[in-house]
Amino acid sequence: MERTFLLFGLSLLVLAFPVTGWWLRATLPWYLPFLIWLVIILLIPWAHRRIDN
Amino acid sequence: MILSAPGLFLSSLLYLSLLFLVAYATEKHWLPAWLPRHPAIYVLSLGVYATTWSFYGSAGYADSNGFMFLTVYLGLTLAFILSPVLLSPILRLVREYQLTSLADLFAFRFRSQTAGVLVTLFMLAGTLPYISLQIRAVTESASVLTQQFAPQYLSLSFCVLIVLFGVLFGARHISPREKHQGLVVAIAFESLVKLLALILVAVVAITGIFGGIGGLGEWLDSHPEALEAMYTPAREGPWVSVLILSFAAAFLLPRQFHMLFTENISPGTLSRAAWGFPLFLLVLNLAIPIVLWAAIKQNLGTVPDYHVLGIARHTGSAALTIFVFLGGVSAASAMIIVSTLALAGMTVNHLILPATGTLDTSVNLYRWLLWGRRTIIAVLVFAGYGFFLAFERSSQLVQLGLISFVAVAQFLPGIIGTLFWPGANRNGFIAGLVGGGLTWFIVLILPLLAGAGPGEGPAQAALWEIAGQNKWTFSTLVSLSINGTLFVLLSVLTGQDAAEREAAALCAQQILTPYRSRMRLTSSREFAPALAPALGTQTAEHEVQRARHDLQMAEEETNTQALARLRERIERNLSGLLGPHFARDVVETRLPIDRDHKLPVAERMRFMEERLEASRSHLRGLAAQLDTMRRYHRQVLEDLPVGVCSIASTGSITTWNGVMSTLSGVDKSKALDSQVDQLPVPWGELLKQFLDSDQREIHKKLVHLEGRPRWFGLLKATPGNAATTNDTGSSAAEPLGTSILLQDLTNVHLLEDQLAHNERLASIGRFASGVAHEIGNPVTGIACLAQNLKEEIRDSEMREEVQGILQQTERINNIVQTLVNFSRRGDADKLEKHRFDLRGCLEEATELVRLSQPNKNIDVLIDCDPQLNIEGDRQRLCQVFVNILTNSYDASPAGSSVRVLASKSAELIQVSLRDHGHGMPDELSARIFEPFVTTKQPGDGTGLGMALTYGIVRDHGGEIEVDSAPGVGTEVRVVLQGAP
Repeated sequence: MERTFLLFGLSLLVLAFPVTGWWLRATLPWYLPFLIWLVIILLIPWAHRRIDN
Repeated sequence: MILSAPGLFLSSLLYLSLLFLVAYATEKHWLPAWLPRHPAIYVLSLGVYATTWSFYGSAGYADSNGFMFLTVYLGLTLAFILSPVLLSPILRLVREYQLTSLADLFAFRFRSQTAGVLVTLFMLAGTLPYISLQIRAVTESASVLTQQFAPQYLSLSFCVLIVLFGVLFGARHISPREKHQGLVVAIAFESLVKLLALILVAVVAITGIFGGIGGLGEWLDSHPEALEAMYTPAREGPWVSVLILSFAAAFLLPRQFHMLFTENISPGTLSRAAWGFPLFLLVLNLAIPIVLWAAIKQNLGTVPDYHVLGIARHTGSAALTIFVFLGGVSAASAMIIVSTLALAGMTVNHLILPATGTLDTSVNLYRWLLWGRRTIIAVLVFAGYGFFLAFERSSQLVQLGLISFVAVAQFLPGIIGTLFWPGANRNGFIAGLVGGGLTWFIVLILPLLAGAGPGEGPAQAALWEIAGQNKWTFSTLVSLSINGTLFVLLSVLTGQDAAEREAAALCAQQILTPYRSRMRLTSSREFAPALAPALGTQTAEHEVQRARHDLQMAEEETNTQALARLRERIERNLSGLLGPHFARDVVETRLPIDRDHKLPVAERMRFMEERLEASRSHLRGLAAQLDTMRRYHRQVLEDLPVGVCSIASTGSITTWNGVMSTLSGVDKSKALDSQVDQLPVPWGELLKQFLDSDQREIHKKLVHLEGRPRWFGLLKATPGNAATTNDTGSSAAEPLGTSILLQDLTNVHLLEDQLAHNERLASIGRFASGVAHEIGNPVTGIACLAQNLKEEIRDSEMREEVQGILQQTERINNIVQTLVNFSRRGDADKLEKHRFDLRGCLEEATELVRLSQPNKNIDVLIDCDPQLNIEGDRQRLCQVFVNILTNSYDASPAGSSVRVLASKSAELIQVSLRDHGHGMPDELSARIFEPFVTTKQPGDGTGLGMALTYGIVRDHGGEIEVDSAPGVGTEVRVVLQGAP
């Protein structure tokens, strides 16, 4: 359960202001928002693993 | 390229027919059985979230708000990250209590029909604009392709087809346990079409318009303003508000709730969907910026909402264009079908049923409910169509979608309270919902009704200016703040009644069972007649039968706990049919509980244990430690080497451990919950008598089981009253019932018998030894004197008489010698031991006996491996077999047989000699090794043969035992040490 909350907190931090101001910049690759989203998705099974077991 | 309206209509018709075929094939099991249950199907079916708003509107939203369009999916991802703490508990409640919608869940949690009514009304109000949005998207997309206003028949016939599909595959079963697999697979199929269509358009845009990935990069490098246009609005827009809205929409929208929870086949699939579904949405949305930039590059001139169609049309491929159009039809139809299906159930259960008051018992309830839902589906689809006609040109697709999102976000405080705050009450929930709902209506709906965009009326615009907020941020934060504040405030200020407290504890998993009272009905047969006045005879019988079948309960059941379970199952099944409030009302009224008579604590404990075992919930902290302690004590009880059974004060058996099952032969599943006096013979009577008696212990109770005597010891413990704590935390003293321990003393009894027997033989041996000593010496003297006399007497007649004296003294000496042999202890070292073959010994003994009784035709069958060897005194052991075989000869009728069987086990050799003679009664066979005990007529035997045999066998360190039954025969078993 701790991993779930950790991932949720981290995702909230990355996806909410003011951190979004860092990666919502035109100087970065256009696909960066998708990449961040993908990383979060890939971490979900890790966050839920112990609970599923 | 311009397509014709009839062509589009025909392709839509063909596509929806294909959808019918997919659903029909699934329902008819033409597809592999694993397919509908596969987690991928579940994940794809959740794709109903992506409506025309996502399929078409995302490009428009991205055009005006840049990467803001992603927030609609990022919020959902956040909700799925919390799946174990947020979605799984809801799924548990939905499955356990057969709840079919969010209205059911709130009505169940807050024990309030008003809550159900409000939620349903609010859902209807929030979803109708969304349905109209889908109809509008299909119509407008057709207009884009035909370059003219789409004919009315297109949208109307689309609605008719959707109604047909919904009725045929969505409202197919009335029971929530029977999942609509055809519908689920069809929705999954539609999601796949949407995904493929968008991917195809993106691929075409990259290859056909940008000339590859590199081309896209170059174009972006040369047009930094295009990229900046994606980032700037996102930085300045209502990012957090839309995150919150999509977080709530992820599982609270009627269609999401229905596919996530109601149609879920296996809870395990939810963990796959936690990452699979966001991944699906990511791939879907990856196409959006590419499509947008391609449209900008080509300056397509289409409305941004329909850039996806514009790109497809730009390629000049009719097939691709129609495929993309069908992708839009998929997005719209899936949303409408699932939403109306979910809303239909809510409307029937929470609006129509409460309005009718009672059910008409003369009609078939199932058919009534089914057609009720089907009618509501049609009404809702056409209401959406009416809404579309009324507000045809008022707002962007996204605007209407966000209105619905703000509406469902009003359920967020309620759902958090349901899962995590047992103190929340119905007053707070209703007040919060009304407050938040009114805010939503004033801020977003009133301007829409007045002909402006949502939140764009003059008064509302002034509000945004004062607050310095975006309209979505303002409407979200203000409505949720009002809602949440009223919810908490009224929950804190007003109390809960007992029913609400119980439901709150069940939802928060603080308790597993609410049962504390006994039912007034005494048999399961009484259930159907009791329910008939409320449900109708046919429905009542069917529901009782179904509940009994679920519980695998016998037709006639009288156990109080089983009846409570049956009542609970009926309530849950009815909840799936009629909603939790109506179901509870029917059950409370028709299957009343006698609240003056509580279930005994022992029965409640057993029920709680059962629930704890069945519960898959993860206990934590103190609860986990207590559960570990409970399991430890349970295991100790189970593993005790004595039988343990607990009997409640009602006579119901609440504990029956494994040893108890073994000893009694009564299976645990049969014993538990049954009345003690209903146990099979002889246990029912035995335990009942012991229970009712004042005795606390029975040392040895003879019980005949399967024709054999067994001896049991029984102990009884009747603990006094114990302090128990109820669900509300108050304590009370209650009797705990009685525990009985059962111990098998058969072996102890046999050992004691054997000990007594040996002691008796030893005593006789000591006596025989004394007698032999006292008689032997005078007899030796007599023999000496007689021998001297014989030498001195010359008279032949006198010599013969003296010879007679010598013969008699010889006979006495033999008897004395036998007595000495019987009584001798520790003389084994005087034996002439050596290794010899057993078979030869047995054959020799047989031959000697046959020669002694040549006229008796007895067949001796020797079954002995010639390799079997024995270490011992061959002559004496031969004597043993001669003695036993002589007895067998004497007892057996002519023409019968004696079977001699020798077998080796480990280091021991057992020789079994079985005849079919007259046998002996138990009392005689128990004394057969004692001297002078014989079955023969006086003069035919001395009764010393078996005593001698016993002595010889014992000197060899062996054992001998006799098993005999009158009229059947005798078996003598000799166990000796084998030679290596």
